[in-house]
Amino acid sequence: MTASDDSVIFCFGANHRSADITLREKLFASEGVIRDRLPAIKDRFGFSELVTLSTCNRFEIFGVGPRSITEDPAFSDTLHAAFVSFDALGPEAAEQVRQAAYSLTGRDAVRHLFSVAASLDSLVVGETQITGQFKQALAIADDAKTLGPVLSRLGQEALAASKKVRTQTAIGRGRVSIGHAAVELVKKVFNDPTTKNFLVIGAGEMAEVTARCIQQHNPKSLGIINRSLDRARALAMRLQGAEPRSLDYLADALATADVVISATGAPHTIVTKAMVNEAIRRRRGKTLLLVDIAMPRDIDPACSSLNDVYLFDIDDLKQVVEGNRQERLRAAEDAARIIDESVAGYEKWLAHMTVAPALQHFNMHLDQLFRKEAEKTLSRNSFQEFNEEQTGRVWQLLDVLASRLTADAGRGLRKMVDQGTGQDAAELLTRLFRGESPRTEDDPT
Amino acid sequence: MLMFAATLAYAAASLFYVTGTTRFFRISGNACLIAGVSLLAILAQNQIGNDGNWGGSAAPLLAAMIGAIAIAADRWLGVRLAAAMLAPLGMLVLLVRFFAAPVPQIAPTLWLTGFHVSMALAGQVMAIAACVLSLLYLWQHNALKRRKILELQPGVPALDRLDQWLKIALISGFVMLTCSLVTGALFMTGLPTGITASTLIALRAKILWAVAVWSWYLAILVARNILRSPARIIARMSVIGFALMALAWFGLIFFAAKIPQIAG
Repeated sequence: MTASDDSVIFCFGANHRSADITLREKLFASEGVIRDRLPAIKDRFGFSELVTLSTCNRFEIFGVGPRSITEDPAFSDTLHAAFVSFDALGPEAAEQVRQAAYSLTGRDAVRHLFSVAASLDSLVVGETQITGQFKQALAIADDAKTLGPVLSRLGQEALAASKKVRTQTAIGRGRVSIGHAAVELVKKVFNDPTTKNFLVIGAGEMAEVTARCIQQHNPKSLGIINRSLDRARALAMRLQGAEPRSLDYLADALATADVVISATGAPHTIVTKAMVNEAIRRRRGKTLLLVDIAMPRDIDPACSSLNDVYLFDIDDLKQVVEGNRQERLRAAEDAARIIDESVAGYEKWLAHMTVAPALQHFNMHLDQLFRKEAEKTLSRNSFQEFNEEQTGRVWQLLDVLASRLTADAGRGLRKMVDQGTGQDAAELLTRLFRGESPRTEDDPT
Repeated sequence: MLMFAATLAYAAASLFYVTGTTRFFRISGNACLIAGVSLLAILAQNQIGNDGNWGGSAAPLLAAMIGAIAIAADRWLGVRLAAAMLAPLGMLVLLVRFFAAPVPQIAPTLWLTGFHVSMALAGQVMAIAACVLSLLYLWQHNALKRRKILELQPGVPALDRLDQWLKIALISGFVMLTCSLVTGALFMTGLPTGITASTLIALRAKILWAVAVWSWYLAILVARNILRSPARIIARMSVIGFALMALAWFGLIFFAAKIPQIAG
């Protein structure tokens, strides 16, 4: 797939599949850096358009470059140089990038971009964050004046395809992280999490991720209990609005919390059956949901036998996450079909774009021809009586005629493009009319 | 009329005691029961003859004693369960007076008939709703308890929402069944004299079923609101309650041939 007769769409980058997190960290570029460097790189390498997508899972540049460069065996080196100059990587990292990076051109690059925007190429297939990041990448390129008609249209088509994929397939359904799965589970027991008291035991990474998921649902209260009160305080401060408590408060907290999520690194049981039993007695029949996402487990499995208590551990949640992941992968197959259709639609638009210069020349030729003839005719004596309005109408008529003829020729050419003979016809049209001044009746030739 | 008014007061007290858990319901229940006991006292006074001998039925006296014990248990001993059980018992004792020995007092009007039938039907609809909600609750509860998350039915409301809806269905159903039962007593007072023994037996069988179903729903509400039994127990009881009601339907069909004779 080419952007025009003499340029081609390309993609160069590294993602979560090809590069480890250390390298991806080095590649990551902020919005300001991208905005500053895009124009310089575009000019230096002779690209006509350039967009850069930088997320925690990928760093990719999409561009439109001269065909002559892409046909050069050293094109990959050019892209690599552009890529490296983008982030000013050191020699060692630059070599690592050479190992990890991939380059795609033409149809492959377009298809890849559609897949990225539709979240088919994401670490978590179907996640929604990429759509926003993709929109932002287009906006940055637009700001930096490196976004042209080809990538702009490509971006719009990719976003439209992404929306279609999201609405017509099950790709975004079901949670695929433990934290979100835990919150989804809460919603099966409690209709309105905003009226419930949540308690997170632990202050580590997993506890923090889960607490953040909970906070998105605006719980009535969120308590953080940890062996070290300082760490509980630090996490509560990061979360804003959470209440830190020491482990001594656990028995009381169990009596008031509706949902308890435990994620400590403790090697032994933190919440015993006796503790929960006592809490249940004090709760007077109120349901208690316990979610144990720690390994080894924090909550005594025997608690599940108590009335009004539901207990789940990490294996139960993994079962949900895995189920949702499989569901998304199945949906990805349907999404791929939508992407194929969208790529074909874009390909058609791009092919039609290739005859645009020929049509432009044709239109210019007609315009010049009509102008020349009209000036000559209107200067004759028989038209001297025409006032300004009548002369204006004649010019208007000729403009309409030129536009209509160009539009008809355009329709015909696009039809021939669809049939595979458009390029020859466009070339013929250009050869017939380009670079020659229109001849008139009075020309001796 | 005094007897019927006392029955109504006992019925209202029963509803207040078993359907609500707040102080308002408790005080209202006490007030209704005090009114009922007072009415029965007036009735007893009227039934003492000039010679000083008792000339009436023992049922009002028994009901008044039960009512007094219920008030005392609730107000002074703080045993709400006793009041919640004794007030409905007193109401049933009073109803027995109507059902067992019909004495023509009031002729059933069209309005009363319509009210009685619509309350009975609405009560049954609520019982069906409670049964459906209970089955959904039990399905989801079992899946959660066995940690079979993938077996949870998508689109079914959360457990606490199901429980809330179940509570509404049970309370409104019980209120309607109580209204139907009390208005049914008025029918008995309006029974034509000279009905056949078999018709009376058929009618009493129907009443017996209705009282059994009503008592079961009373037990469900006592378990839920006073004993605070787990929601799964309440759900199971609701399913059994519906089964009892279904049996009552079969009973109705079985005795249906006898019913038209009452209208005649």
